[in-house]
Amino acid sequence: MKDINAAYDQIQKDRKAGRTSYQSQSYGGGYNSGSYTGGYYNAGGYNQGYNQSYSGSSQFSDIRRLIQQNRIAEADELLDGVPDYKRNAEWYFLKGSVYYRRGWLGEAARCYQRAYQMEPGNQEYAAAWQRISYQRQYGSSPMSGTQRGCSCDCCDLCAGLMCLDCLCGNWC
Amino acid sequence: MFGYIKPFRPELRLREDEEYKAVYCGLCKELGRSFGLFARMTLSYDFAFMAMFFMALDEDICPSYEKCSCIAHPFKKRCRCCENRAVSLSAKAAMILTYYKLKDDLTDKGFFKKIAAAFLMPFASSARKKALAFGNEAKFIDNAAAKMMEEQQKLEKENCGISDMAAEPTAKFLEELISLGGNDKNEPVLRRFGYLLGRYIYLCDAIDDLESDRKNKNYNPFLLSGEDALSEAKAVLFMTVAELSDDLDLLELKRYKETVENTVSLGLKSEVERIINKKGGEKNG
Repeated sequence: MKDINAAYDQIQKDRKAGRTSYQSQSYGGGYNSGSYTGGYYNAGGYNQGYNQSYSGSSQFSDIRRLIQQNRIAEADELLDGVPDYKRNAEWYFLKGSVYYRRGWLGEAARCYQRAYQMEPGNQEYAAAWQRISYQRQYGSSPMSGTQRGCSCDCCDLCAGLMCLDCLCGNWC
Repeated sequence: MFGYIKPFRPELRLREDEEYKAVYCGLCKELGRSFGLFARMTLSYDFAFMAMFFMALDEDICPSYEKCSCIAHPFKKRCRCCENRAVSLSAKAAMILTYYKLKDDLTDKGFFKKIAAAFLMPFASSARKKALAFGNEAKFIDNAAAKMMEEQQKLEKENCGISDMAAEPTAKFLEELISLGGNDKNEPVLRRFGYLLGRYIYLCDAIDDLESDRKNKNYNPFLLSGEDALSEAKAVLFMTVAELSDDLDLLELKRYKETVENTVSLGLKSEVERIINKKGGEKNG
């Protein structure tokens, strides 16, 4: 009996841990705080979490800031003003972010892909392109599909409790 | 709109399916009551979803149901959702959009389409006038729809080959329309939802009409975008659906949560697959 209780506790603990990590990853404190990873309500599209590595090397930090503040039209204007020979992977990535925010998902995908192809080693571009390729292939976002059938959680819990009840001899 | 937004019914619970049918019947009845028999012919899944979505968003609208009989199903009594703000708003939006759709058909190149449009126009026009008499919301929808048509025609004249740009007028219209169901708190999320939903509708319709547009030499953004239009369209539609699901996760739904989620994450996707497979089959067959 002790073993069973211990195992049950362990499962509950794991689940709790699993759930919180999932929540903090994809919901954070709701979209207002802007910690929704890799989505629209994350400040700046995809660039959250990687900013540190960029603070020194980014050519377009002012444009990045505009995108984070959701001043999309201004950011787009500045991006269009950059001459062709200066348009590097980061330029395409930021252009992609601007398109993404405007809802132009086709063009956004093209730009994100271009950024990734120009600089495949860059974590930020790779993460963005990975997420988008998943969406384009499966019609849902990574991390969302399995959690959506939430009723499972409660059924599982119920079944677990019934099982425990049986084992404890209350029923049988 | 064209009936691309519907739930994936095999995955609905019986209760949810009944509720959905009740909203559908309620909208039909409301169309008939306010705008006459002609209006009932325009009944579509899209506006049933809109009614349901508005009820889901607004706690103050409390849907009630009643048993009724129906001309289309004379032997069985059905449940229907009684008139409320969401249902009547959807009915008005449907009438206004039907009017603009017919107006657009009048400029169509196809002879029969033109005749049909000319024949139905008086009904649609009087229905629109009735809808406009109901108040500011209808006027707001009407303005947005007029703007959409104007911008759409401009893009078509320019032969725009970028599908994102071609979808923008419809997307903006849906953004305005859907924003009517919101409050200050959820407006930004709702606006993006509407925008993406409009994109979805436009792109689905464009793919659905691909062959006939090619034959009649009508405008279609996918005819201009190069070789592999079908697979690119599928990818872009899937991405739109994924973004819609993500956006919906951030909205607080007061009721019909499962049905709305089912529609957005399963229904839209299966509709895309249906259209793309149909086109793929036509090409090979």
